Amino acid sequence: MTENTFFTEMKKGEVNELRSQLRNAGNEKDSVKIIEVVQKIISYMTLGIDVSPLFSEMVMVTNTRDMIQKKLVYLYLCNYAEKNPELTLLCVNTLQKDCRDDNPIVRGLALRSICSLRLPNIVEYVLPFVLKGLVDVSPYVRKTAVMGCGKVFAVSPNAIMGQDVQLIDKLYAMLRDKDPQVVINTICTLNEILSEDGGMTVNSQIAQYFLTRLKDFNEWGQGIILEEIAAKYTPQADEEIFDILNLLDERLKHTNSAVVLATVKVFLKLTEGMKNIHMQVFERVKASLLTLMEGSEHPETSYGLLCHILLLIQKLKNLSDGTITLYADQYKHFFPLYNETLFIKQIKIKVLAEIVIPQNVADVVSELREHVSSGDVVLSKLAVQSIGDIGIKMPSVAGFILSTILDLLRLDVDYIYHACFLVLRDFHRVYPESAEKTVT
Amino acid sequence: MISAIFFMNQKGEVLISRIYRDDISRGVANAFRLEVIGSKDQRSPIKNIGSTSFLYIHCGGIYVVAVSRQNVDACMVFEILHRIVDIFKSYFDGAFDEDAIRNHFVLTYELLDEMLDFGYAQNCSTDVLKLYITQGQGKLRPEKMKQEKLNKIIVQVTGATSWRTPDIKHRRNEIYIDVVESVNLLMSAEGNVLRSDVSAVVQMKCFLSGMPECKFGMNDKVLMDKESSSRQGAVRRKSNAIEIDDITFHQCVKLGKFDTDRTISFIPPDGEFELMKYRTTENINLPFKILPIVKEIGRSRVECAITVKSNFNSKMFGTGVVIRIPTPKNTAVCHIMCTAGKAKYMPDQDGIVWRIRRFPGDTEYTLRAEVELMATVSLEKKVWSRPPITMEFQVPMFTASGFHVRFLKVVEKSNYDTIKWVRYLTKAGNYSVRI
Repeated sequence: MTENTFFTEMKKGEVNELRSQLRNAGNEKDSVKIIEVVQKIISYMTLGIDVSPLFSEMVMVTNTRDMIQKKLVYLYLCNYAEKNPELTLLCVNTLQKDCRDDNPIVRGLALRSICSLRLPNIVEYVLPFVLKGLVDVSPYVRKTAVMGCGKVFAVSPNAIMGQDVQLIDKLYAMLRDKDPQVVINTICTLNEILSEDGGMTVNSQIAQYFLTRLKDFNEWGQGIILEEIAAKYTPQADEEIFDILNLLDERLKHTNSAVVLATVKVFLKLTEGMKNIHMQVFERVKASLLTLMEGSEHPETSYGLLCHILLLIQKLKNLSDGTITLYADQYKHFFPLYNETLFIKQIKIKVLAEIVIPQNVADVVSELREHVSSGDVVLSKLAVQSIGDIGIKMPSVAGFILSTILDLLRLDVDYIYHACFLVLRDFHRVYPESAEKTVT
Repeated sequence: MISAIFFMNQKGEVLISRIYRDDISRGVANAFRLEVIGSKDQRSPIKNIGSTSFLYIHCGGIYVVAVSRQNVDACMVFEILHRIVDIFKSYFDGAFDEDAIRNHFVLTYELLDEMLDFGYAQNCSTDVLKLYITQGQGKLRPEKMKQEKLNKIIVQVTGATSWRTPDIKHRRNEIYIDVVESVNLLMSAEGNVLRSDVSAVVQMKCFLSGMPECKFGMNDKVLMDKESSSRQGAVRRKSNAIEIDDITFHQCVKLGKFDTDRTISFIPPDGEFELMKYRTTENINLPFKILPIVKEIGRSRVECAITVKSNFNSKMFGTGVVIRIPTPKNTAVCHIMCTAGKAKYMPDQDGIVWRIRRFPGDTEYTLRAEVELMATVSLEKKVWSRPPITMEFQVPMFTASGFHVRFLKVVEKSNYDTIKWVRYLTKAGNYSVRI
């Protein structure tokens, strides 16, 4: 029997039926039946049907050796605990027992669930287990315990910040744990707890420690380290800056766009004080970003990269007073393709408008022309607008742009007319002498 | 970080939700349904409503939405969402749609619980997750598992070489390399190549025992220039090297070594994985050339003559060649004549679809069509947007960029022999010719 059959229609009163089913199955200690009923309850919960009246019955079946049943029951409890604070106390006993189980996966699951209960009145029960979990022999339990600190803090900040607990110091010490995932979770938790003070303090010891060990972490960990540590660290000496730049250079070749972008962020932030190097950074990173954008199978990731590329182009233009245009030679890569998603096409057109230089303006404008007759109203208008913007920014091609716009009028389509007239109006403000040509 | 993840279908119904933090209200799903799914005009994969951000991807008819109230790293969230979808696909045998999720909702909950804790990504690697989250029917019986095996799994979940367990054994040690190149072409109506590039993926299937160290060599121009300059050779060897614009690697490749001496050395994960992606724009050998002539005669007829020429060795064949020639929306009837393959007008695809099963090298095929349009009585003249002619094809044992695997060395303590296979394939990425 597939689980799909659970999603059939529900009649009123079925909740009561479930209650009696669960109670019977629990009394008979029929584990197969219990699981069936529990799965049914969870499927109703997924559909949005309120099954909270079954709380006390669910508490009774928490005691089991079956992992899947355990996970489902804990899921239910975490969902509805806030509505039943007194009843939750009953299941705390079982959770505490599981926190002492031999199997680290069971310990981790229990710890994760008990921390997600989000009830202030059980925090005093939770905290001892979190503290014990921090020094557990298994890294799986340790990493869950570290995250647990963050969860408990969200419910009851005082418990964590209490003097006798000295949790913050313990967490700082755990930054040197042998296991990478524990360390990453520690960084995240410290930043959560200390967010009002601006996050965890990053001194040069910590920064050095992590930057040299960057390769030991998986891609998510690397992203977090780069964001939280490298981007927040201010090195003392110039040499240190160059050391860090060299160390992180190879991250630009990573397949994960988040890691590459975080590296770019670090580079830019570190070189803010040194104008020349800062501008060189843009040149250094442009190839990696372009490859990622082209090679990405997913439009959303490309979109994120394109937004950043646009930002970098604009930034460099400002810094160099308009002399350096990034990607001007690779303009062809930003030609929108016919079957791409709309939001990608839109942002590519925006990028094209920013990277025109006299050498490529003819090609770019003819490409934008193609998209005026693309069929999508917003896209056509944007294309016409961009052509106009190019003409205004580059006086040398004003004549060419003007004849292009006048040509577009011949297409004889409403919304293109509107867009063209708007452009012509702006054009004449900037170039009054073109008015004559337009009238004829 | 991420406060919640929702899986919604096209109608906006929530299939599965997992809430990691309690800083969002239960009504967020409704808000998303109204603002995004309901509006049908999706201009960005990120939507900000008040101080809540919705980052979503659209996959197989399902919206996977991540909700956050913090200034979260957008690209990281998209990568996480895509990784979640990939993991589900590998558990559900490739299917990722409404039915698959409903059928395996227990597994979905387990996976979502394990992959993200408090909204932060933990271990999202398929092989490791499969070790201790088994399929719905198989129940993990922890008391029967030996303690050491359990410990090993734990180290895998959290350790540094999280992509490979230390004691894998295979009877036959084999390694398969698949170089899959996607050629992208954009040609203008006048016949100029507006842009052409190749983005390629090198996929590997490793069935090797132990912890082997592999070294991979290709005909990369930078490396070969270095080699030829270091030799005291007088003869300037004509290198058939290719200039690679950019490369990205799997997380198992030692990036430092690549930077210093362009060697790709790695300890591969077991099974199938993507070793590297690279991109070239120079010296691309376009496998097919399309010469279209499309004329609109008045408002009632369009005449097309499309010639396709193959540009590779006559001993090789292109397979699965499909050429789609677009026609205006108000097409009535097409009279088609072609010198090879089968061509048919498909109204649901708004064009003529021309299929050629085998396309030998150095040959030329032509298609002639007369498209009759229905008379339209509309007052406003609608411009035919003239979509480009697109082409799909696969040419085995051919690389458009000229990429070549020079060597693959496998070194392991027990010094076994490995059987190596290399296959090349060039397929069409976005191959379009404007008309």
